[in-house]
Amino acid sequence: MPESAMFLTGEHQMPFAMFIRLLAVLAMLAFALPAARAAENEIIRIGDTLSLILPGEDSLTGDFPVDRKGAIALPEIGPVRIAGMPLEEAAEMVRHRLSVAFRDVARLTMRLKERKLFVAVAGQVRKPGTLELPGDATVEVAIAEAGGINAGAQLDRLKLIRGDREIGFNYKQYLDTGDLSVLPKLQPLDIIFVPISPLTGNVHIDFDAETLSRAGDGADAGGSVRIFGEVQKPAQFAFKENMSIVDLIMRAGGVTRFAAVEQIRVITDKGPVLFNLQAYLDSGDPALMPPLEKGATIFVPILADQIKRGKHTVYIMGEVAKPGAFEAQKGTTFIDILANSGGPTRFAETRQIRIIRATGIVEMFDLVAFTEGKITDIPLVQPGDAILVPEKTETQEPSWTRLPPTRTVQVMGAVTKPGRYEWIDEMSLFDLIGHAGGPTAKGDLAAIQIVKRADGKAETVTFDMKAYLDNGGSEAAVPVIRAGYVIVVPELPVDPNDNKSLWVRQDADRSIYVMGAVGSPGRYAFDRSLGFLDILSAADGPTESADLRRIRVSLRGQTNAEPILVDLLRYMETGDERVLPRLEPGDMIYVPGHDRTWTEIATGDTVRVLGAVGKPGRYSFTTRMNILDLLAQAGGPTDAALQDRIVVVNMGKENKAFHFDLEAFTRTGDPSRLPVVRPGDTVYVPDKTQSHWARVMETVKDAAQIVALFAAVAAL
Amino acid sequence: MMTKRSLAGTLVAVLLPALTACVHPWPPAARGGIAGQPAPTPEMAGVHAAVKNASAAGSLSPAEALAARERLDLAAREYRAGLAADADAGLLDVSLRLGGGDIATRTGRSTCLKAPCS
Repeated sequence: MPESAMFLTGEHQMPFAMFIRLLAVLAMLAFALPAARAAENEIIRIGDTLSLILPGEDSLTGDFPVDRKGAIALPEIGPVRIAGMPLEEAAEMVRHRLSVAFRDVARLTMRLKERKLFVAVAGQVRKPGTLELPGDATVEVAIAEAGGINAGAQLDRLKLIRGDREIGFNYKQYLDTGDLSVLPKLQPLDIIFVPISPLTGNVHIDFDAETLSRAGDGADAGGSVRIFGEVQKPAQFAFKENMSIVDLIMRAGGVTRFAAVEQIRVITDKGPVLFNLQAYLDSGDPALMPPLEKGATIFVPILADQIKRGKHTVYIMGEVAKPGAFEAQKGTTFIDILANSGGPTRFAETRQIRIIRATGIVEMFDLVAFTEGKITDIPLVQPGDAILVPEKTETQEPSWTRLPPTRTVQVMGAVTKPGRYEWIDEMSLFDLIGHAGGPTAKGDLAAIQIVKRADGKAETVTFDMKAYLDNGGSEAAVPVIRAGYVIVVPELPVDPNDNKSLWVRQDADRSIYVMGAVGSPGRYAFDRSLGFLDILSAADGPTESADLRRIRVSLRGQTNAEPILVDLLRYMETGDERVLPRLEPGDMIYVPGHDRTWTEIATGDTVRVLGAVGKPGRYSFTTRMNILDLLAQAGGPTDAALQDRIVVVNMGKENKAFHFDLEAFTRTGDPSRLPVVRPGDTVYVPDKTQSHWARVMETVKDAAQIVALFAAVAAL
Repeated sequence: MMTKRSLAGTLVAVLLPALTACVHPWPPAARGGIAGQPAPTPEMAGVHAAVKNASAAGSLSPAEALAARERLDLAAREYRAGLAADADAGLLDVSLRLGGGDIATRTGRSTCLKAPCS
């Protein structure tokens, strides 16, 4: 007998009110104490996250998840299995295990931080697989996380697999009642299995109402009608009284846009009957609609399947929206048939439409010219005629063999799309170059070659399209292109290296020569649109040693023409384009260097420096320079130089000499004391032996020697 | 007496060559000045103005105008250096560049374009 019951017998002498109070206190203790200790004695599960804190030890302070094997991974110790243990007991075990590697582990605290539920959902759900759910998740939550139940699931026989056990439950009952007690409570590593209904058979199909409806409801072939062909949803439907063919077509989703609604066939035991739905819809006459019988089959044919053949039929083929056969009444034109066929597609070659007469004669029709008003006569079509709208040439692969040479021109060389192009004579050279994608970056439009081929002969003409584009001109100047011609756009080298490699292919009459002190001397392609600086730049420009004041241009095309002297520095000073010569193909540019040998330098460009200087010689000189520049260039006066008697000999209209006192100039800085020195003059720096005093002393010495000689002779 | 005469002869023989050396002829001192610091003479002022006008009118290109100014600069220096003939030739050269206008020069030269040279 329970103790509480014994209390109720009243064997002890105790007032009833006191008994009731005591009972209430005991009841409160019975409920409150376990609740207070519940958190401490929580059973650890797989999926839990424990929070460990050991002050002063970072590696043991943090979150430690309980893995699928029920263990937590402790530093220095490794995995410790604690799933299934009360929290406090687990904490004690962890302290014990850690004590072999850590000190002061008694201060380690452990608490349950988070609870998760690892379950799996399999079977007839949209996303079968393992799930990580909140700790209090239910079966319904798990199924929802798995994407929900698929059509065809057996809802009343779901299973929960827990280890070796299988727990069946009726999910349908839960869905009907909302009673959660029907559902088993989930535990970690549970597997929820959703079976499929045996009604679905062994073949996987979509088992939803939409699919079932699409498949029709006529499972019983004997009592059904079938409809197929050009309807939206071909199916087998249960036959119902008073059902018409139109009803059946509507149940099948209606006809497609390809349906031949005038040719619907109704097949019954009595044989096929033709049903013209178009006529019925136009008239509403029920007599046009054959009755629908049980077991009937309706076939809606495709429109293209119709082969019209009759005495009024005209055919249209090729690149039109709806190729086929059309009725041509008297007076029907080509345009009528083309419009009925939906018109040409974007791939159609509308300039080359062919009308193949019933007699075998082929006529060409240019629809573009007609739309532009250039043609006003529209050909009539007769029954039996055929119209061919060909595909554009450039969309065909490979198509060049389909075009005869009498209808093509060839474009070669530096265009984006070299090739063979269909040609009509009303097009121009510009149309052709444009159609070939235009010239490439290296294309030389200034020397387009046109090879005119006719009667077994070829004649080449050159056209400067660049000049025409730049300056305009008469249209008559543009060569007329005919079918069979060959057009060549030559290349204009951009890179000097290209130029070197292609020099054999490069016509000498279209070249210019750059020599001397430039980065890349050589022969360069040239046309009249290029200038002096273009060519100099193409040759990588003058080198550091180039003498820019004395660039020479030889005019090869002109007999007895003297070279032009170009002062490029003057151009740089003034920007005066007239300083630069206008070049012609064949000309030669020579850029001399400062390091030329003295024999290469013209006398009129130099000043001679003689005497007591570091480097006597001839030096290039301009009127902008002065004697100080010259002396500096010549290495300066030597120690023996007589610096106050530097002699300048001016060679001009009248030859004169002056002396320059360098010492005085250095003392005063008076520029007026500087002599005029011009190219062609001579500067002489005497040495000290030519000073007045040296000369006097030398003369006295000589005289003394003579006197002594005379004295000696007299003494004898 | 003989000794005095011999001594005098000896002094003459020594000093005469020395005096000869003292008069060794060096050319006169140079004048002219530095390029780029024009100091036009009065007769060149008109030519400078003509160059300026021609350059402004476009009949003389910038490069030609620069060359003309440089030539006039040199002519001025040549005048100062005593090279009048060369300076006159320079002025005439500039005159030709300007189209042949008559220019009065120190040597009386003038262009031969407008009037026949005498």
